[in-house]
Amino acid sequence: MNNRAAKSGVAVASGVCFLLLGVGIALQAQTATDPGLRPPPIDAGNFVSGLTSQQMGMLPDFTNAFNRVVAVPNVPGTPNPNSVPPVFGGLGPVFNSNSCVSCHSQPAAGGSSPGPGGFGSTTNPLFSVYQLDGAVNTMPAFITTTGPVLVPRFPYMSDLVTPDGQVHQLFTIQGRKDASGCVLAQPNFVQAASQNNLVFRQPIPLYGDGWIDLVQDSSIYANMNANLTLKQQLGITGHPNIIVNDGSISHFGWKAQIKSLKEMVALEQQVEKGVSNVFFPNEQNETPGCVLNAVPEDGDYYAVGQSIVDPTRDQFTGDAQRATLFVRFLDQPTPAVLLGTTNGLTQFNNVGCVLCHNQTFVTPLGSIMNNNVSVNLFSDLLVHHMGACLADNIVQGSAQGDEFRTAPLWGAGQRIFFLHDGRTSNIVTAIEDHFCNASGVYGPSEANAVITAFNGLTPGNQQDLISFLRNL
Amino acid sequence: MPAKTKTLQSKTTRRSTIGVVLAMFCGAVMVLSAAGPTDPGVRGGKAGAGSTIAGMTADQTHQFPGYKAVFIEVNNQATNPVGLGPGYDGDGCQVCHAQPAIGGSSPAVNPLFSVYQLAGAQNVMPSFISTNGPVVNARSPLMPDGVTPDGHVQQLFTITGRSDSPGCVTSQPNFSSELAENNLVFRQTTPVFGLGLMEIVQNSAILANMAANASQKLSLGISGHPSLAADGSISRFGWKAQGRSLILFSGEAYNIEEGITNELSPNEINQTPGCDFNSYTEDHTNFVTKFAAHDFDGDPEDLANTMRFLAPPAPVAKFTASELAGQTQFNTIGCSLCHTPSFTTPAGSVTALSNINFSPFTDMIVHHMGPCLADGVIQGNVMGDEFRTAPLWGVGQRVFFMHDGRTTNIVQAVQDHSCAANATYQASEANAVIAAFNKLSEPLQQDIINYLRAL
Repeated sequence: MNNRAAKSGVAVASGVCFLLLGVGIALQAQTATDPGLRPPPIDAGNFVSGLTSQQMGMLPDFTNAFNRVVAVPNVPGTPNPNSVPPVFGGLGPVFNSNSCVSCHSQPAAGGSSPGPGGFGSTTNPLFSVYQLDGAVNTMPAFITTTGPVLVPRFPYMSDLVTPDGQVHQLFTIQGRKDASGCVLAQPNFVQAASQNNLVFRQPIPLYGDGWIDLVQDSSIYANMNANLTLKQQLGITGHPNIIVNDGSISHFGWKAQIKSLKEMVALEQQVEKGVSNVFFPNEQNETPGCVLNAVPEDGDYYAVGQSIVDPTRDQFTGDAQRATLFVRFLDQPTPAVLLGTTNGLTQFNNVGCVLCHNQTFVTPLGSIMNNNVSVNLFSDLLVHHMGACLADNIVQGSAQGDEFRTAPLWGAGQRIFFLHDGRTSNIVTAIEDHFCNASGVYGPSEANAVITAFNGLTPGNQQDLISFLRNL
Repeated sequence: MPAKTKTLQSKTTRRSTIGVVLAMFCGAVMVLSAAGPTDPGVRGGKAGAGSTIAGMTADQTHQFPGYKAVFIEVNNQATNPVGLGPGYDGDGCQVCHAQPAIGGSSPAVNPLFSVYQLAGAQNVMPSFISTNGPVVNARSPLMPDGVTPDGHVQQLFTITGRSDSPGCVTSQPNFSSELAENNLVFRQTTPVFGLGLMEIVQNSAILANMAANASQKLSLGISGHPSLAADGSISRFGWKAQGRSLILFSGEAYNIEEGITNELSPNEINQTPGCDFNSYTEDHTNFVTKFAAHDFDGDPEDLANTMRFLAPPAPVAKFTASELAGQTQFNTIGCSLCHTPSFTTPAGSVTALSNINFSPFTDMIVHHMGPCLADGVIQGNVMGDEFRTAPLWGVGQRVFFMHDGRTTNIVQAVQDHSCAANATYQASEANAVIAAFNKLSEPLQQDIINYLRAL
């Protein structure tokens, strides 16, 4: 286990015994080693091909929305005229960070949590955010300089019985020079941790999400129903997280709890930065004295030409939509070698990893995207029971407390932290962490038979499989 | 309260069918006593809704017709505006949102009869849709196994047979079978006037109102709770308060009701091979820089802005003495504990919606309504017998009442709030208030009815 894995012990608050169990198994079985991040060239961050000249012309505007650092004061649709470059508002009252890109940056804008050995910033970006502009936040113990960016949730309300599950943002705007008068304490993370009521999720890379958005439900079901006998023998089931109103399959998030790319970006703009928008119009914390802007802070602009602020910007849509379009046009990561040419892929398929980490879906005809694109995401877009060792006890839609969406593996070769709470930087440990016996609350992990099969491989085959993953 | 007997007001087939279902749900039949108050019916005269809200900027006023054009347009499968089906309920928003003006509720004459076989479509009209009945969409609370929760909308019609959809063969849901299994429930069209105001009411305002008059609510058996959205805020649109914002609601409804995939609802609900003629998503961002909003954004944004700027329904210009007395009684007996008479918006980035006191007559939270109204559909943290307090603004000019449009008689609608517990669901939270209504003298009851019809 490399030193990054050792430092990833920040995730212990959800249960020390869980972590020990995972590590124990990993140490016992570990003969393969993680070669670590695949060196540059960077495998992600390019835009899709086939964009129109009009779309190309707007990419800088969309990119700006993703990269924009927000402060508190806000005039809807207009940059703060006193700032160069323009600063947009809406931060807080509660937030995790002040831009999308701060946490989605490895190996390039749109990616996953930065960290040691990364290609951009190698320290946790939250340390340059939490006390910015006079904010008086203290850094929670579970955020470390070398650890992943994490978003905390409380599974239960303060009675420790009623389900909660919401994000409880790390920071508040109290003390910021642009938020005078706001008095608002951070959540009591120490208490929550002592009550074993604190769980984490790390940023998910966004590359290729425009393609995932278009994968048809019928394709997901067809893949779910393929290889049924084999799946049954291995204890693999899985099901879609369903939106009740229209019966469609929700595609995004660690629990596949978010239906569309657009809703996800709007939700994160609200949850992570505290920027209310037309999708989620009110502030998440309405403490008097801390709601300093009209709502929604990010909205439609309505200008018809005579009140243009900046002629290079489309005048009608908010940052949520612009950032969505940035993500929509980010192409899927490029593997280092052609898929299908390595023994590692053969082993990946033979032991059964591929039964959940389904290599490819094909998109339908696209209206603003290319037609029939092979999306090599390595996920079935279903949720599976992963057992008590990974369970976060949060129910979202039809995903239960121990269920998670099969994490897409594309770009895994240049990711630093693994699993929903970033508990390890060692991809071998990440594999072993898929194994978990039944507990009093949850059944066994659906991955157990596959992990056992992995552990039964020759050391050479195990190493080839690991190398294959690091080539993605 | 003593069981009364119910006489359904309609002679139509649909309502008879509903009646059977109701009788099964309720296990008791209620009749309005002959000597009760009477519903004066849909208020005549000028429509109290349909205009835009005061205080819009010149830009917004300039653009509103563009937004509304999308609300009004009739969608086709293959030709612009593209995307109808494969499954659908209607082919334009205004088809069902029509009473008393565009943006409203279900009209008196059912518009679905001019939609279902349009352009050669071969649909059979389901038995629960009648010419004089409400527009409703249909849901099966349970999967075919009879156990697994379902609850999604089963679109009434398909594009099979339409001249613009050659080769598509997909059948309508088997509604008669679902009816026979007692596994079909309905929701009617909700009016969209004034929703821009409701959208930005602070969560804290809703919670403060929920906490107000706590002892009185407790003594009357009224509780209620918010329906929670993905960001932990209070979701407030739709019969179960399942929609958080106008844009999220628009994207979903556009696909559910018309089958038009869009960036918020990218997948066809019906994915029968041979019926997917279009590129996805059918509606999408247009990337046009012309200075008109509807040229850049997709249709859900325009639909949201249509709703955002439609003014709240206006009550009569001046209440009569009876209506004023009814207003007092409405508050005294406790209707107003859930049908909250007013909220105030916070500072809004759209000036026309900023710091506005308005009268939706809803607390924007959900309540247990008992087995008589329960539809068995669970949405988020809203259970099978819970519904959002329906906003009463504009109720004077509505034709159909309750979530499934089961009655056109507003007196009956009041009584339908009352329901005893059964093995599955607790008693309606409205029981004590309806009992108080029934104890009022008949003239006072009539005053309340008159007041409602003046809204």
